[in-house]
Amino acid sequence: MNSKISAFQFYSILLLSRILITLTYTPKYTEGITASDKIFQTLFRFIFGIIITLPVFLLNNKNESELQNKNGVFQKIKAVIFSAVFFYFSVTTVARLDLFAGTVMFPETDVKFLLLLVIVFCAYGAYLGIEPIARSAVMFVIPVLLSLAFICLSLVKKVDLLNLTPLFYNGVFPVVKTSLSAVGRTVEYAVIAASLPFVKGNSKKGFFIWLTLQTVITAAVFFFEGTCLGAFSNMQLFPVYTIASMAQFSFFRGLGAIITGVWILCAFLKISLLIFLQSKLLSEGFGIKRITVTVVSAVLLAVVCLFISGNVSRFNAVDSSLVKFILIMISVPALALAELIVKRVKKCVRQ
Amino acid sequence: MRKAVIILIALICAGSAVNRNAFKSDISNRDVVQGVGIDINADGTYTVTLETINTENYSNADGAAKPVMNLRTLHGKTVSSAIKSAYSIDGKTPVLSQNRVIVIGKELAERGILPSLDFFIRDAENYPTVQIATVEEKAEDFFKNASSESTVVSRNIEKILLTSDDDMTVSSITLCELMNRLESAGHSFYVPIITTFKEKDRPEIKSKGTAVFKEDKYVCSLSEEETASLNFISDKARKGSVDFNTDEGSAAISIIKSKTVRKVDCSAENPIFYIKIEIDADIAESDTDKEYSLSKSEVDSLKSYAEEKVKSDIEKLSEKLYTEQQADAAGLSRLIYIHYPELFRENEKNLNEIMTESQYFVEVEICVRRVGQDYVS
Repeated sequence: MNSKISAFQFYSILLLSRILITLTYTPKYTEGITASDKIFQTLFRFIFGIIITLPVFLLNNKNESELQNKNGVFQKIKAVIFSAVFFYFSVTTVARLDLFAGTVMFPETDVKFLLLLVIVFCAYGAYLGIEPIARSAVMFVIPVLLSLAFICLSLVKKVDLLNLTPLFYNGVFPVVKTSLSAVGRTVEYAVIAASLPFVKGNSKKGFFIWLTLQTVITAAVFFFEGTCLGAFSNMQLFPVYTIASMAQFSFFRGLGAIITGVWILCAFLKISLLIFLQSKLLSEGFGIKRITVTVVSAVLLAVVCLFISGNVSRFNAVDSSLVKFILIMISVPALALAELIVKRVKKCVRQ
Repeated sequence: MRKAVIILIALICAGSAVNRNAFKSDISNRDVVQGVGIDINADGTYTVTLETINTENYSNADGAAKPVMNLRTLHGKTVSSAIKSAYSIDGKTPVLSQNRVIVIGKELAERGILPSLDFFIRDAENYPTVQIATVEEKAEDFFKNASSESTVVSRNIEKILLTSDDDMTVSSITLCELMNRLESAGHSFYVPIITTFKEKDRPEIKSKGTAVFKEDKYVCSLSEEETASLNFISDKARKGSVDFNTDEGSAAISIIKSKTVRKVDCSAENPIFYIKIEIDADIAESDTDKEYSLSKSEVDSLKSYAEEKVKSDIEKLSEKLYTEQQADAAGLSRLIYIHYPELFRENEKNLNEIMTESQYFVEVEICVRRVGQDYVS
């Protein structure tokens, strides 16, 4: 990222990227917790989000970043780990889109061609660089937020507070476990860890605004899902799509189409960003041409996703909460802490 | 940048347009389902009646008059196989996204409806807001009796069920609500009953009270008056009228607004439920021998009669539901789950017994807003 992007642009991309996770969540991630717990666990997520990114911000404060060695072995290791993480998350994002398209959009059609088309567009977006992605995110963040607010408002009449449940009915542990699993699904923490040095402006303030906004949006989505659908949400593969399809405002009915549009838009930005970051990190770490990495990454992504496409068992095997959690814990706090320790040791040795 | 934006806009447009039934084949090759009737046969197989729009009416321009709707009777081991069998009969694939109502036949209601609804929960085309109704005969016979050349039976059923917002003697329940009730504490729910009748030799449809289900089986039916009480307890009564007798004749109030506040107190040995109904109403009719104008004391008297009538009806219904049938169709046990989770956990299996032993205190408060085109003397 020779050309830096502003904190606002950066967190706009991350917000859209995180909204995608909320919109595409399936009940398997919240197994064992009830409607009110789902809303409450967003607070735990907020706290865990701060805890795991703390080492990243410590590492990137002025004193520490002066010591950064951009061509060191550590940077190469970081490039490999982050690229692997971003590749894995781009696979699960495309696979989820495939599951949605194959189940809801075109249940009777093979969606492999659509997947290939999306990957080609995303690779092209990644090739254009971070600035077009960032500008697109800024342009779309307000319409996306307004669309979600419109859907929520149109659902107000369907809210039934009796669908809420007692807090921690199945204990605190499942709620904490679900929150950690949600943190694990948030690849945006790894994006922050990999990209923070290249963001202009007050990234700490931006981070808090981003975290607060995504917590509020997630809590609102869970509130409407819990109160409108109740236990029925656990019987739906994509509950957020189901509540959107129930929404109606004046003569507008079945607002699932809006969610579909938002979903594809967010997925496009997210996959483009993840492919871009892989190409950027590997080209900087190993001197490979960015276009080469972009093409290889897109081809690999297409191969893996076509293998998973149309097979729910393969999807479940790949889309593992545990794997995601481990990857995020390694790439975000562990890597930042290790780098911080190495730098401090080097600093002491020099002195 | 411009290219990226164009691609994005194209993707959004594609995403928004591509919803469920886009890119499907020619409409004349599709059976646009408006209503589904389900019956169970003696051997456990299903008979599914589909009311579909005659799509050939739209694609053929030969000018010949054709019926608006088609009725198709299909058979299968499961509901899904019965519906899917439509394709092998005339090459038309049923589209369920426009389905308005699922009608359950009497025998299926008695044997348990849950297995037959599984397909509608799983199928992505079907909306969770689809209405559920039951009939006192076979669903197949109901559709045949209610059909005529120019009527869309399912649309009429949906219209009637949606009047529950304005007429509290009518109940309604969507697939989503039904499944929530079934998954909820009391495992009981209710489904509106519909029936056909002839008027000037034309078949018409009307609501005929409510069927109460325990687990997923039919246990009893409620009259229209009892349905109104059920709507009051469930906080679903919004508008309607209450007819009652006074010492001097008969009278009626017209409900403008109603709100039910439900509370539970489990501090005593058995739970005590407090059901407070606040009604804003007009005096719609007062058939007495006295003067036309009502005095303040007469208005108060009418108000007391109306309050007593609503209260006694609700008490009778709670006796019927909770003591006689042990079926929590009004969903009151949910209050124990929300406010006393520990007590609920301990008694989850014998909840219906607890509901039977519970006490139900009903309080009705009517605020008379107007007395019609008259003044209070």
